[in-house]
Amino acid sequence: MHLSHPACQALCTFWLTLVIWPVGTYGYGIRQPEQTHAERFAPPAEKLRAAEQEAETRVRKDPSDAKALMGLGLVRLRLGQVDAAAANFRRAAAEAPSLAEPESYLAYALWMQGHLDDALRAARAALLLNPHDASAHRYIGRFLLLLGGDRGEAIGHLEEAARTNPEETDAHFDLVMAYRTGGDAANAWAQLRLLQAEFPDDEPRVLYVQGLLASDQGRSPLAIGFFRRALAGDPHLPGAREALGIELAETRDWKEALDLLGPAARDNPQSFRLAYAYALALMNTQHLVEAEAAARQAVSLSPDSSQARALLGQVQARLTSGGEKQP
Amino acid sequence: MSIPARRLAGLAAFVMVSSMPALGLPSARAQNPQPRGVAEKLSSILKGFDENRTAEALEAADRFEREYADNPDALMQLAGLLAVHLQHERAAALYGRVNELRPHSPDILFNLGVALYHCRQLDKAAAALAESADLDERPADTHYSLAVIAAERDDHENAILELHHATERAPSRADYYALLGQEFFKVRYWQGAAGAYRHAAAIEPSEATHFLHLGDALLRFQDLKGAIDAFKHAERLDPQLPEINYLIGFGCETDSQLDQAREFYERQLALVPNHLASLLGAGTVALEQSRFQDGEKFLQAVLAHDSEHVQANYQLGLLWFKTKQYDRAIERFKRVLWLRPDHTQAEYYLYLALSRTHEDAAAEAALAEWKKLEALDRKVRSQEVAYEMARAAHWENAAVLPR
Repeated sequence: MHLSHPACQALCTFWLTLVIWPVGTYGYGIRQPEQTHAERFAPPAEKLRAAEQEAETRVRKDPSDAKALMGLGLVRLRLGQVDAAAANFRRAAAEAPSLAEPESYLAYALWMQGHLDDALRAARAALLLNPHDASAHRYIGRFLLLLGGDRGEAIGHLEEAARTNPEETDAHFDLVMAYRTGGDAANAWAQLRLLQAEFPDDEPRVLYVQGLLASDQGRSPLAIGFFRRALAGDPHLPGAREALGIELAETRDWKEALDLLGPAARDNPQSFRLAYAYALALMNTQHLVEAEAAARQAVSLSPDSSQARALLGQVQARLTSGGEKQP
Repeated sequence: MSIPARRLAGLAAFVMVSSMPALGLPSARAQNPQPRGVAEKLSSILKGFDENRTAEALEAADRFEREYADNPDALMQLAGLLAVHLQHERAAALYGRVNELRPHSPDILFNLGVALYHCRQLDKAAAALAESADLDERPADTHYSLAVIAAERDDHENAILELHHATERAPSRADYYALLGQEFFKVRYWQGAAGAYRHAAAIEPSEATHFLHLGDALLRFQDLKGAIDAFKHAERLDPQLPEINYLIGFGCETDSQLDQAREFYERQLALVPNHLASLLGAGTVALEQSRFQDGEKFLQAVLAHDSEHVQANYQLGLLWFKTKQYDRAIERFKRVLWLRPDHTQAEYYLYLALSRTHEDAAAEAALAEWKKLEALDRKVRSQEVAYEMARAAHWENAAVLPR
């Protein structure tokens, strides 16, 4: 028994690379000329602390200044103070109810807090205020995909984000995912073309995407190569380790697959694909007791999966016949 | 310690990766006249290093350091000597001490920064150099040093900004322009890269790599004649440049100079018989020139090495199509479309081949699919252009940023 290809279609991994920062301060725009060398070359943490102090001073000076509140929220987001940032964005939205940005930033903060439905609502609110808000389009697209919403609508928003703001190149990563999960290979590969034009060859996220597309074609050795290169460039790239583990299971490299899938399955207990691949790797390395638990998990996540039920049956049969050989 | 090699994409995978010079050793800036007795002792330490009596030299340096612990000029000279002999940690510590004794000196801070850079303490090095630049913004090498550190951290904006400062102050430094070209290349601003390499080449007209990189940058924005000229100039300066014949061949092929392209691809293949890109190029040119047997030989050689090579499969499909072997062409184009489902030309030729074999329903389906791909292709191209323009606008603004 091995991983069948259709089962692999379910994977929809997203990573977070959003850079939200007041346009023209840092972001893609070059910094302001009055900055000293010491400021520009300060370590990022130091820069953030200084920025936070500056933003706090501005808010203290005028607590109803929506821009100052947004600035403070953004700094706090970067400092990982998501709750405080969300509060700043809410206050900014209350102070300037006609501005889209506070809602858009709030959507991001809510997403970070794990409140996807609220985040989607905030992003939609931003779009009502400004139909050309590229970030809001992008968030709606992404949140819809994460929530399993209307893929067509998600794609529409992501395309609009990329069209409205040529600097929203990261939207193409989401679009690759959206198209490939929708089975639209031509569009998925076309998005890859754009990413390849925009990023260097060794950009880990692009390599990861190439791996996923190769995996969709069943070209496991090629996919494994891309995943390995992606991980070499960024060992913490979300999704890449799991994808490599699953692909290794495809090629029956059980030992290495197990090493990768164990932690991944623990970190992501809601992923059917991971649970299934992990169970498979455990069974094939004779860890039958754990394999049974993992297979049960896979069945519970996808009760209609005949593959998962068959795997569970196979593990149980082996257990009954005394095939357990725990190391 | 060297700056990381340039990251290239697409075609540049075949271009020799440049290796830029690392930061130089601390300069002799801020060295005042020596106190009495210092020169002899330093000479003795220097002699120890020169005669490979390193341990002895270091012991003498220890004694010197104790003796002149409160004398910044003497310590500064010792630090310089240690740095020259690659004792970077000792040098950095000494410069640090000198900086305590005589704070806010741009020259001491510069030397401290460079020594820390060689110890790979990049944050501290950047802090020292940045303070130096803020205290005295005139010396070009301070800006260049900051640019090197920024480049190593992939902080392209700061690197480019500092290189602008450096080249403004030292317009005859080819290495500054070369690093600027490298940074523009990393951010895929080809016009900027070409401009910077052009400066470097004008300053150092005998340096083949400047012309090589200039050609590469020109090729990216389709200045084919300029690219070919630059590559050919590089080849004249250094015929041993790896893949230079291939690059000339590629430029010529793209510019429809097929005889020239053939000549240079064959030259590359004579040097490296399995040079995949040249085999593909030679096959493509042969096909264009209706030398079908040659074409097949080259393309099959590519596929023997990589059976999933998209372009080789496509060109072979085209060869079967042109030689009226439609069934084989259909099979090949289908393979291409499996490998790259967005391959518009393969879909088009699949449609044509199916039409020729009177498979009308399949041909209709292929035509419908081609229309979709064609629309998709147009969309992607327009987005590529928009991105390219956004990048160019961004970096053009950055290039004229005032101090």
